[in-house]
Amino acid sequence: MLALDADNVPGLAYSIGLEPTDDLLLSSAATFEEGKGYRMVISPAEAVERFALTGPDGVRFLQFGKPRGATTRDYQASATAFLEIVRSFDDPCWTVVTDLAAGTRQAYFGWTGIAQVVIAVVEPSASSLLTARRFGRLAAELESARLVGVANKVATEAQRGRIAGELDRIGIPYWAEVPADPIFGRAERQGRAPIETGPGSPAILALERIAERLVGENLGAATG
Amino acid sequence: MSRLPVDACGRATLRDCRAERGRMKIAIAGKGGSGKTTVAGILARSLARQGHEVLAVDADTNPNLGISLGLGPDATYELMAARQALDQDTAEHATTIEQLMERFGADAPDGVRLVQVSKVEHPNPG
Amino acid sequence: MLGELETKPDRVVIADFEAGVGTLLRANAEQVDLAVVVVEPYVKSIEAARRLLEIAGANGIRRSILVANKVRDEEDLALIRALLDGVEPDLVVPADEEIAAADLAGVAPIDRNPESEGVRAIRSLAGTIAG
Repeated sequence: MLALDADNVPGLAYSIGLEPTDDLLLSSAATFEEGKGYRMVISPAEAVERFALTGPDGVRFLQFGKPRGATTRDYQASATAFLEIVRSFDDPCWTVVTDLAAGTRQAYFGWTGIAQVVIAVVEPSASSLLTARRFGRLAAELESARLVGVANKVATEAQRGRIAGELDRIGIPYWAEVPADPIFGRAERQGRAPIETGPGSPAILALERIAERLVGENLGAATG
Repeated sequence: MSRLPVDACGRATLRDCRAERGRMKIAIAGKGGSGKTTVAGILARSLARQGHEVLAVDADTNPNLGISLGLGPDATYELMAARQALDQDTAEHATTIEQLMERFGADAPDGVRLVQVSKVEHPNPG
Repeated sequence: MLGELETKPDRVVIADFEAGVGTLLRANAEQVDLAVVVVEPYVKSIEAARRLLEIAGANGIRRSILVANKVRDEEDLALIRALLDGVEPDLVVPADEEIAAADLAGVAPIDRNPESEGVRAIRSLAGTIAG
């Protein structure tokens, strides 16, 4: 399992149960060539092998370079390598989960890469529903990936209905749901992995079921 | 870098900034979900109610500030980004920022003017 | 585009930046007079705020404010202070169900209830900023 954090502020590391690092782990995986720009000098698989951190349950983890006291060159090299991994790492022995930055920017700009499934996480707020509406435009452009919606922080039937209504309007399936759950607030305040602080809580159970379905339903193969 | 005290009269406010530069540019930043857009919206409306001319600039590629300002989701969704319009503008005469605001801004309550500057309309995920 | 906006007396420009550090990294003192960094009482949010305050300073932005948002209790404030090396937020916005309800409904919180605790706190900030 390979987890990639594509945001340039640390986040996913905490949720996995890792300490975030400021190291530009991948800065030596790519170099700058005059006239050509930044290029990877090793393969994505090798970069993962050499640079990915190992977290709980054996999850390998890579984060997008955190711009803290880094030279522009180091940051650009690391960013190039990271994006190349996101776009081309397709070793069938690995399951890859990429956490994109909030919003539509990265999805619109090629960061869905070789994904078989793109999950649009939607919460009941008006701004999240509006963001989902914008994701709808992505569906037509994704060649090989399946775009599905996962409702998050659902507390009431009315909220479920609003999200379902919006997803239906824009043609994205209401594929799964995660209930509102205080376990996240508790874990987030501590900076710990929710799966460790609340393993039996409703949201964690829902997410584990989602993980089973992602593997079992083989969504990517369902695309035409 | 000086921090701005907020609870005492007589201590430095941005009044001096306005006096020097004749305007005030405020940036609202934070991690996703922190509430920065909500804060930006309330701040903009509050400043407008105090009598200032407020220009709200939504610099997000996924712009939702219109909702926090009170424009509503549909109007926010329909707004075209000024930058995109600029890119598409093939008119012979140059367009100033003021003209862009005029053409592509939206009127929010309390006289706040909203402009979206970075919105990306068309995905290119390839 | 921020740098190009004409200086107009009494105009206040409020720019809502994209979440994260990307936009602020490219901002300088000519474009931004005051950086308002919004933080929640979560470790991830505080870490982001730490970086944003550093970047604002490094980029020469002359003033910055830390706004602690959705604060439920003293413990939440203590977490923020502890992880920001004792920095005291310039404004504390209490957790406000009215704001949450407004966000859910897609209406401006100041329209739903201008007198709710959280809205009043932010309105007070407007008073101080504008002098």
